[in-house]
Amino acid sequence: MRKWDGTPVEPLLSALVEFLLTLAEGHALTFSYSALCKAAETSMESSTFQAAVSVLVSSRSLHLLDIHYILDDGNEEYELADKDVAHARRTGKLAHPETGVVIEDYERFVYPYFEASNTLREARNRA
Amino acid sequence: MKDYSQKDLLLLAQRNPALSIAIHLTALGGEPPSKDGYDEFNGLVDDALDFCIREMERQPQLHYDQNEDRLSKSLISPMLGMGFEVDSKANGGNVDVAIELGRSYSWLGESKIWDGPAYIFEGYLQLTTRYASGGEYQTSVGMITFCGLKRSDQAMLDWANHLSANGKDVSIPNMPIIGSTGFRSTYRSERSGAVMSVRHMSVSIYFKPEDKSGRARVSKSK
Repeated sequence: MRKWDGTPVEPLLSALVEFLLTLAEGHALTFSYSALCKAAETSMESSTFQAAVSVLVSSRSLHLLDIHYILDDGNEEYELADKDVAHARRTGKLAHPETGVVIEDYERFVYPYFEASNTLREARNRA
Repeated sequence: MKDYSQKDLLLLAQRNPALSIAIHLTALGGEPPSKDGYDEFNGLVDDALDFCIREMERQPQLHYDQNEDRLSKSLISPMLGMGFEVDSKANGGNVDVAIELGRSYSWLGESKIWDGPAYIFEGYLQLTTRYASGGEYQTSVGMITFCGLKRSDQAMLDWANHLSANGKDVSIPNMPIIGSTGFRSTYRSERSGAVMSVRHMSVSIYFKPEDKSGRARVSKSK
């Protein structure tokens, strides 16, 4: 945390780290945006909250979460490969994982969620 | 687990540049490093710097008498709330501004208070021959010029001309730059051979109000 001390992101980051490290044993280690938002006692409109999530996903020293995506086509849910989401973000085009058909306005059907990273799992095992 | 769609997030971010940058950084931070990803990172750094420059230029009275270290720290402080890993070390042995995302992407910046083009050139040499590695995903850097004089655009034109005449292996794609408050140049890294991209930007901290209370304020702070 030291790197973030005194920065605007520190209070929300501390709250999220505390939440992730102290979850009861057996608690699912996947999280929606809403669950993280609730844990940080803030709103989705808070740019500082989004920044804290970004730190947890990408930071060298505090990488506690991995981000993944689900496609819900109205009938079924599909886990999307990271590379397919990356491609869709660049090109605006996402092919349906089963039919291969390009999904119009795909962002409406794609939902990000978060999963404990190896670092978080190891930290929880040590505690 | 399913709540906010990608579309919902983009709609949330529509009117808030800092939120938009943070949301995009989260998505980018979860991807494996790639050339496209680095281009996106550099675009987000540009957006964040534009935001920071606008914020700083809105209140020159808070900055016009500060030194280079404090100006660098003030400039990048909004970025600390956007999800970048930002360092403003600003001491002899380190680059002034380092912006990173995860283990791979980085952007380095050197900042100087405008004191003529030869002085800025020294900072440019520090940045390009001392700090910039030219390694993979480390090929974008920037020169930040704080301009306390009138006509920051003229200062940038002087700087562009000086760089063009004196820089080693420098190319400025859009010369001549007319009425510029910023421009881009490239050079080839001596270390790695990579083509490096340099963003040159000015931050106007000129503050000389001519009304009575403004004059009093400036003379009081001296």
